[in-house]
Amino acid sequence: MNFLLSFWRSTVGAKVVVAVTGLILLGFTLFHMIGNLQVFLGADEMNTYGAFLHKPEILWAGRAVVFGSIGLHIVAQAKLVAATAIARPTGYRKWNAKASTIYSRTMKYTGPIILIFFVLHLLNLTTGAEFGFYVHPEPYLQDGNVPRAFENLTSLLGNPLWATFYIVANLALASHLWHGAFSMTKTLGLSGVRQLRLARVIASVFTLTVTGGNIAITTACVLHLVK
Amino acid sequence: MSLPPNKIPTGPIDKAWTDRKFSMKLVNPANRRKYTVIVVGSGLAGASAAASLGELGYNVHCFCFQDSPRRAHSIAAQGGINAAKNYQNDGDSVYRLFYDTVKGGDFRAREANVYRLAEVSVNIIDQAVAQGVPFAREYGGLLANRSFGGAQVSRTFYARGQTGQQLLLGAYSALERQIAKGTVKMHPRTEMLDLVVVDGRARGIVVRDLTTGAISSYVADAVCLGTGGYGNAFYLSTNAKGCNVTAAWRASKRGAYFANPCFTQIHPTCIPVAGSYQSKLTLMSESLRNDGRVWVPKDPANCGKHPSEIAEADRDYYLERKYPSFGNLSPRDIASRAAKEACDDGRGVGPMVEGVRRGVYLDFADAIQRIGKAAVAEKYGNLFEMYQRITGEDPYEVPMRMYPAVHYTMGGLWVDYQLQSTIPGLFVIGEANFSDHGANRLGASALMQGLADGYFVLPFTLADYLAGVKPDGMATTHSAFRAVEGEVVAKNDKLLSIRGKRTVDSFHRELGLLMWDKCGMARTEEGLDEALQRIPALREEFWQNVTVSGSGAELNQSLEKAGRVADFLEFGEVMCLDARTRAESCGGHFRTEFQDEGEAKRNDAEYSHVSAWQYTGVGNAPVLHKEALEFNYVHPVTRSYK
Amino acid sequence: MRLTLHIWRQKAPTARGGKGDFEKYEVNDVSEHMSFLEMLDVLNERLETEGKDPIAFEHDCREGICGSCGFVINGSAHGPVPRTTVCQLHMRSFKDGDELVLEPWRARAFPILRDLIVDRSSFDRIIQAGGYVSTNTGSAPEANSVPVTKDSADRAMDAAACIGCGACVAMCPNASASLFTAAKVAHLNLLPQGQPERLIRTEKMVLQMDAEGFGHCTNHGDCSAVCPKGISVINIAQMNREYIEATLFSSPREGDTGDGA
Repeated sequence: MNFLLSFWRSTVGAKVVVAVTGLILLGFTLFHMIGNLQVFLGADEMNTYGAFLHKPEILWAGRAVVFGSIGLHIVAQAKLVAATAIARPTGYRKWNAKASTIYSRTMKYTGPIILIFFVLHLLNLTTGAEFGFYVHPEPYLQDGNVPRAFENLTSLLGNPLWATFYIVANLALASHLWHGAFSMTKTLGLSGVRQLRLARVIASVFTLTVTGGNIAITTACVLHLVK
Repeated sequence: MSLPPNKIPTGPIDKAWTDRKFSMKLVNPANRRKYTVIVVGSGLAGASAAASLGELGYNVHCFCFQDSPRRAHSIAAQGGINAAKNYQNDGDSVYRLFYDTVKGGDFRAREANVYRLAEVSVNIIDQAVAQGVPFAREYGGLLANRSFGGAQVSRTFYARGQTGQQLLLGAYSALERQIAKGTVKMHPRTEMLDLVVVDGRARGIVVRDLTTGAISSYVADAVCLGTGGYGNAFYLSTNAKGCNVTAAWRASKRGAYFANPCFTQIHPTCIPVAGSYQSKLTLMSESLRNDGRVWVPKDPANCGKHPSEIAEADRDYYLERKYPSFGNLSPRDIASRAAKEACDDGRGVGPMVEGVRRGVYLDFADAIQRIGKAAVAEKYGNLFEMYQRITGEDPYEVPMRMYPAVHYTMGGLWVDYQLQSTIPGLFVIGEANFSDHGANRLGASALMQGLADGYFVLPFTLADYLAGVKPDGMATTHSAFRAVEGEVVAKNDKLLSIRGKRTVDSFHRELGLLMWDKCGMARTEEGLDEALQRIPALREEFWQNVTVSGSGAELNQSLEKAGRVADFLEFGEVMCLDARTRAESCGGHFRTEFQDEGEAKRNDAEYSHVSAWQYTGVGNAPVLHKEALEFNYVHPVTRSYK
Repeated sequence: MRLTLHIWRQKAPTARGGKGDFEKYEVNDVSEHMSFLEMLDVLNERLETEGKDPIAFEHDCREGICGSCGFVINGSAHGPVPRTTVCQLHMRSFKDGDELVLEPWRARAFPILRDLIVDRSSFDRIIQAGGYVSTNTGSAPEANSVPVTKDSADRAMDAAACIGCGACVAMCPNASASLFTAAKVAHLNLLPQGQPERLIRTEKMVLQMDAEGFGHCTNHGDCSAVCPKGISVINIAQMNREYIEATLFSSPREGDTGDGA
């Protein structure tokens, strides 16, 4: 397995790990957003969907993939950032960006924001009671192992402070995806000019769809448009 | 000592090199690593030689003053490389390339050398392609060619306008491969400052580490110089700033004769000098003359006007007028001299620099009208862009301004057919030797010669020499090395101790201007005599009044330059002396006294020889040795382009 | 025009513990026709006549092809004009009264030797790792025996135009050498002559790039934007793909480490 170790140790290899896990997480964000759109269909639909996700085999498989990807995404990137931090021991007195964007240069900040959001989001809507992050007054699971997904969501995001935080976090996510979703195609070797142009369009549409959807849900909740 | 035999093979010229390759001695593969070879310079000649010798198994040390071997000035060659492949089925052959080169050199090159050059030219292309040189291709996937520099066949291979770069990167990659294998040890940022001769054989060099300033020596069984030309004797030239004569000149001071130093090539299409601060000249590809028309105002009074204000009738298209059959495509030397004449006549254009306008127009207005702006852009877009970047003028709107500049030096250290100098064990390759171009080099032939010497000639001839000597374990502790190191240190210390008032560059500029005026495009006995008076005085002043800051024990660019300029101040005198002694005009050497209405007038009866100069001490007249030239195949005729 | 320059001065190499700082210089009578380096030449001549150490900067051909020159001017590698090395940058790009900050390329793998001069030998070592076609002199087949599609030849030439100046590293927020390495890999890998060593070349050059201490690529694109030869970042994507293929999807013969050392 030396070749895997060697791959992991190289900058290109580690970056490929970041890209592949990023790709998986893109799938997760899309799936998650689409699922949550059911909030507009009402409590029953939403909670039934929640119950489906709560089947142990689905729950644990999902968690393994998502947590595993997040873990690898972070570890690989942290390794690269640590190595790169010493690649330029003395910085410039002046430095002007030429092609890099605010989105590409803030990946290392938007990443941690998204991570914090992710943790809080889990606590908010599932098991955060003991830390004081669980908002809904009643327990997480109703009878028959059906989660109070709809109620949790609407009561949480009915709170303007939480809603603002969720929107800010989604803007960070948008920034992260704007660069990441396109950048990963190059890291994974997409090199045709036409294909890259297409990839840029797809990455942009994807980013706007996912974060736009999330923000729409949040906005609807804070304005009490869904009840 | 008179000149050693030139070792030219007897017998038919088309068999000469094959026969010689067979008769030369070989070194057993198992013994090769016991021989150490020093290669100085990492341009096309040096890099190809070092790589090829490394592949053969010799223990090679390669030196360059740049930070990487890839930066040698070969990299700047734009146009292309000739080879007698006859891919275009237009009647080319080894014999024709040989013929054109001898004729183009105005019958001042050795036939046998030139034939060998033409013969191996085809191998160079094969080698370069195998290395991954991205030559231009046709849609069918085969190599493209163009006609270059007035040649009547299309034999020039090219890689955009960057042929020199691509060929050098090819040779450099072969060199780096050998460095990785350990057969070649590379010494970048290391300048050769002297040659060590022991018992009449070249045995090593003394170098300065340009980063630390340390002076040290390297011992070898043979030394090979691929150190380029001396165009920077003129200060302003198209050469890189670092190009210098130091290695060759210091070898000359140790006994290597210098051949035909006055043979320099002037390129007609360079961007003119813009001010007294000018540090170098930029060449614009000669291909521009295919569509541009050269003119100056008829009346000097119009020279200050904007070109658009000068009526068609008031313009003098002097090349078309003087040379109706070749017109704007007249050979380099003729076009250059005609531009100088126009400017000397007070009809130059562009800004006044030190009281004179030195420039002529190269006008594309007709071409734009004829084939359209888009077609002109297609052909010359990148050149127009470069011109605009440098001058700030748009050549689509305002005619380009051009002036000739020193570009290449045909002279160099004398070598025999086997590329060995008058010092046994000292070999000289590429532009640094005098060899194959005679009095004038054809376009796209410099790259060919550098690579021919390095890839396909030196590896054989060096073996012939090495087979006759035994590795003897000599070390740098040998008294000869200690002595030369001492001299080098003393010279540097002297330069650092003067602390005078004038900078190194100011001396270099003054020498350059003098050389350009008196020993440039047109030379006269009177002017050369004046230069021969003034150079020693300038040299004297240099050693009294130069200022070199810093110390010898650090990275010190002033000290590097000072050493090189000190050598130009000695060498310039030999150039002028050679030009004065050669009382004829031939190729790039034009003596105003010897002409037929502007055409160079060769004197084959008295000057059909190579002039090799033996150094006898600073300020002493060098001794002239003549090697007679024989022409058994290409019979001397007068060039005419009227 | 008059300019104020803040130039990084460092006498001893970084590798030997040298430290540097900015020094301020006023330059008058700058002609707009001067190249940037000629402006520094004039300043240096003044410093030398005053008995001071001139500013060390690397340069050679001064026509934008040798790759020797380069430093950062006001935060831009090779200065403000795209596709231009600093030797071809002319003073007409600046205006009277400008203040300019001149800094050397800054990267761990490019230690400073003096003032604006850095050591770029790391680039040579990347080439030594595999930036060649293993073919000895004399062993080449007839040049036209292997056709090369015009497209491949042109793309290879696009990549081969790299002059190795190091601006890509200097400008990259991560000090990555990916553009340089990728250009070299692409040049040879695009040609039929480069095929036999395509994968091992890519793998070894990438590993050497890492070993030299350059940062990683995050596809910012600043490298390509300042590249005087306009080398495309697409080369990096291509290198990534070939590296993946080389390391994960190929099985070299046991013990085969390629032609070099």
